[in-house]
Amino acid sequence: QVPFGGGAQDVGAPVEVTADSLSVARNGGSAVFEGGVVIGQGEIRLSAARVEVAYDGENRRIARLDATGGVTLVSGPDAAEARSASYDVDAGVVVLTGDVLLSQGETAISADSATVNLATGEAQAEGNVRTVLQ
Amino acid sequence: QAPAQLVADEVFVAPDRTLTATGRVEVLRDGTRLTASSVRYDPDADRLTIEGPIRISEGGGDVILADAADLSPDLREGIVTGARLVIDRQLQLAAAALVQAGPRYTALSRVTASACTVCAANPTPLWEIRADRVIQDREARLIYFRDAQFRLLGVPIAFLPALRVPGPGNDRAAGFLTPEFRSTSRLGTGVRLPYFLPLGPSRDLTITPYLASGTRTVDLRWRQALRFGTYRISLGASRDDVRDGPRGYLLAEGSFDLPRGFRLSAAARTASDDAYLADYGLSDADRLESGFTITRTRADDYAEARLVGYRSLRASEGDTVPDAAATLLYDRRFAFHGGDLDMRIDALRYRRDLDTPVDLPGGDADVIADGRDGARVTARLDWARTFSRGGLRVTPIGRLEATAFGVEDDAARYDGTRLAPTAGVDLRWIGSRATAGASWLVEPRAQLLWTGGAGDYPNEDSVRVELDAGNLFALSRFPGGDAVETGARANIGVTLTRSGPEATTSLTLGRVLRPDDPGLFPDGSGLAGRSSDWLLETSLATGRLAATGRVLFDDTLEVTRNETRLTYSGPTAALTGGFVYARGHRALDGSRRPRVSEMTLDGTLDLTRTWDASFGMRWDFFANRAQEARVGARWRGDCAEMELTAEREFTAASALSPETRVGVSFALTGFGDRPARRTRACGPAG
Amino acid sequence: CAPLPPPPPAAATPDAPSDRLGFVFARALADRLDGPGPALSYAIGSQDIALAFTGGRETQRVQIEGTVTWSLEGGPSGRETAFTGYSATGTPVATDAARRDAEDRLMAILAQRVEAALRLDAAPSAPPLAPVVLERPGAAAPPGAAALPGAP
Repeated sequence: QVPFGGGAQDVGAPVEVTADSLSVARNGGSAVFEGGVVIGQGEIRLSAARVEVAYDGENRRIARLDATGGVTLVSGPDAAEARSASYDVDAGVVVLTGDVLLSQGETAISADSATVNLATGEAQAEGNVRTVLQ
Repeated sequence: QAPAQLVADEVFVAPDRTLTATGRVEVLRDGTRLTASSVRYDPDADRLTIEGPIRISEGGGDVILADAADLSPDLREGIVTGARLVIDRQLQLAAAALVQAGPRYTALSRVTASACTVCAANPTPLWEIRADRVIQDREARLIYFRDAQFRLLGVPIAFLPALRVPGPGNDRAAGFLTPEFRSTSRLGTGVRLPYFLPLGPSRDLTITPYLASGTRTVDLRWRQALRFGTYRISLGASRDDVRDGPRGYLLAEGSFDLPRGFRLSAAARTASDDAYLADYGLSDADRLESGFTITRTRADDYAEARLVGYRSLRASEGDTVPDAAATLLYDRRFAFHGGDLDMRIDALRYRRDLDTPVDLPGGDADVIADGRDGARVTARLDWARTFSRGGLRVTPIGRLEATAFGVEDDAARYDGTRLAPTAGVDLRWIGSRATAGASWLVEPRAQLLWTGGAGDYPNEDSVRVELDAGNLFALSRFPGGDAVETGARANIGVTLTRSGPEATTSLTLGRVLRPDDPGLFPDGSGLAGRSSDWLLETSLATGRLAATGRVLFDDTLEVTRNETRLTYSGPTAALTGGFVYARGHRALDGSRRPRVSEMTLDGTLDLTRTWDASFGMRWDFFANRAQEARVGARWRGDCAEMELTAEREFTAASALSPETRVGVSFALTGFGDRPARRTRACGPAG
Repeated sequence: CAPLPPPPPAAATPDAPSDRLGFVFARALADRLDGPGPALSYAIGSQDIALAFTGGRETQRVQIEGTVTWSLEGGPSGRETAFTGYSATGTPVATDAARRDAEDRLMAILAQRVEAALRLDAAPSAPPLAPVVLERPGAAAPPGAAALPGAP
């Protein structure tokens, strides 16, 4: 009974971001990383071509990440791919859209969009969902 | 083991990894397709929990409709509740629970089975079988019922602890075939209940007891297909009130391919007494032939050897007619200087049981010595070559025929050998004309022939002669080789054919002209006298109708023979009829032939979508009464068939009293090889 | 006078026969045709109808109804029907010979019908009188119907 993403404790961990380039918006509320962006948070790895990061008021913690241009989310043994994804860090919920592919162990689910709750490990796929029952 | 594929509008993955799919859920696995409103998949327990309405359609046409199900991911194992199994779109089984046990077996409990269309308007089907347990064996295509109750129109009429039925489409399952209730004036009222026993794909045995107030009969039919041919043996034994002592029959037939293109067909046919086959409606043959025939057919030659034993069932024939004969035939065509050279050798040997060298009165109708045995060998060479210019075809013809005869047990003196040369020419002109909407073909033709070789020869096989458009231009109109048409003669005729958009009609008029009367032909054949009767043949063919008429009449327009045949096949009716009128005459074998004027008519009529009728009749104009009448009605509902036939013969003779036969047969459809007819959709009430 | 127009041609090579009826039919047809040509395939069916029973159900006369369904390679096809009769009142030997002769005559008539159909199909046919031939609703003529291709 291993939930999606290995466990809840990762959600609160600090977020590191590495990218080729960084440009910060003038008001400092958000930043755009581009070129092979990799975001790490404990066991969770999110990589994408472009990630826009939104910080909460005091500019100290990342509140939201919007990744586009082909996103891969790896969380422990499970992984998810999509064209774009947005990660609400506080809620620990990732919404993936566009040719989503969730894989947990042997079961792989493809759908148009999916919502993954990293805290509870639940996932909800919608739209033309296909999966193979091993 | 191919994994099952799931498709849905939404899939929810719970923390414990169970998948819940909702919204037009489909599970597909090599040929089996399941649709449902929601499916829950627990990977650890490896089970699918499915909520209805569920529809599982198997590869072979079976469909299961159900409310809920608990199945393995490969849809092979598990329990389905509130299930309705539809087999091959025909037989429906409604069950409280259905258990899939592997790919082969399906077990249902508290089942109602029927092939009838059940509508809300009238929920009780014509017939249904209720059973506690039903097992469907998809591999053997059999259905087993336990503690079954058969209901007709809702009324239980039979309780069967165990019942086994062939599934739809299974036409070689062992079991009872449709029972037939028969009542005949000679054998009383009774039932025939055939039991079919297949022994592998190429052999089967059918045992048919026939129990009636007037008879106790068992009938066996064995059929076998070999690699190089097939054969069947039917035999029966009876004890009945018609004739004391055991009675019975044997009918065996087989045809086999031999090496180098030869084919053998063999038959043995006999019966304990003359009337048995007619009494039991097995065959209305009045002569039984046993023996074998070997033939080889190729483009340019035909070879045949035949040995046959005759068993006459006719009261008017005893042992003064041949009871055995052997024939040999080899016919080959060579191309020869632009023409055709046909070489033909044929031989006949016949034997009569008696040795009386004279024809005693009362033995039979002919004047042939009652004990005559004979043999004949004929060698024949034909040459013809056609020269054509424009529409004219000129064909000089030459034939040389040598025959040797041998006769025993006949006091009469015959010549021993015959040499019959024929010389002649065939003139044919083919012309065509197109008028508006039709094209015509006209073909006048004349044959001038002379044949030598007259003499007094034994004639066994050429005592019945016919004249029609098929032998108007034949070199000898005698059917066999014993007799030859000699003397000078001119066969003249014209054929007119018109082909229009709707119909094709044709007319042939012809005659045989001779300088003097060769005295060869009986007056009833149309060929007697100095010149033959006029032959007039007409035919009409349209998309649905084909009619042919043939009449022979002399110069005073008195008809010698008139025959007609007509077949009509329309969208809802089919009719076929035949008429024959022939003047009484004395045949070549001295027998006196009575005049005949008779018509037969057979037809089928689709009355309604479920009822069709059939009728048949034979009318004797001289006796002015029917000789035989038959009427039948068949009802074909969507899940049962019933057939009623009534037959009455009016011919009366010592061996056979007039016979009336009535038959009723009732069969459930939706099983075995009788498909149910999905014709009646439910009414507006649905 | 001007030479008469040549007849519409009919040249074909009947397929090799597989039984006696086919042998007799193929030879009768070959004798009537102008010469070898495209392959002509044919299927012969026949049915006996017993008539004129005497009191003791003894058959006196039998009519053989024969049909040949034919088709010329790359050309027309059709179905011809005819019948011949024979008397079954002689001895069994005479009746067997009468039956074979009736079969031979039947094949001769069917061969003449097929030859006529081939020539009529080849014959030029003038345009039909009625400009439009109404197709009777639901009147699906059975396949290979005998209505000859001479029709427009």
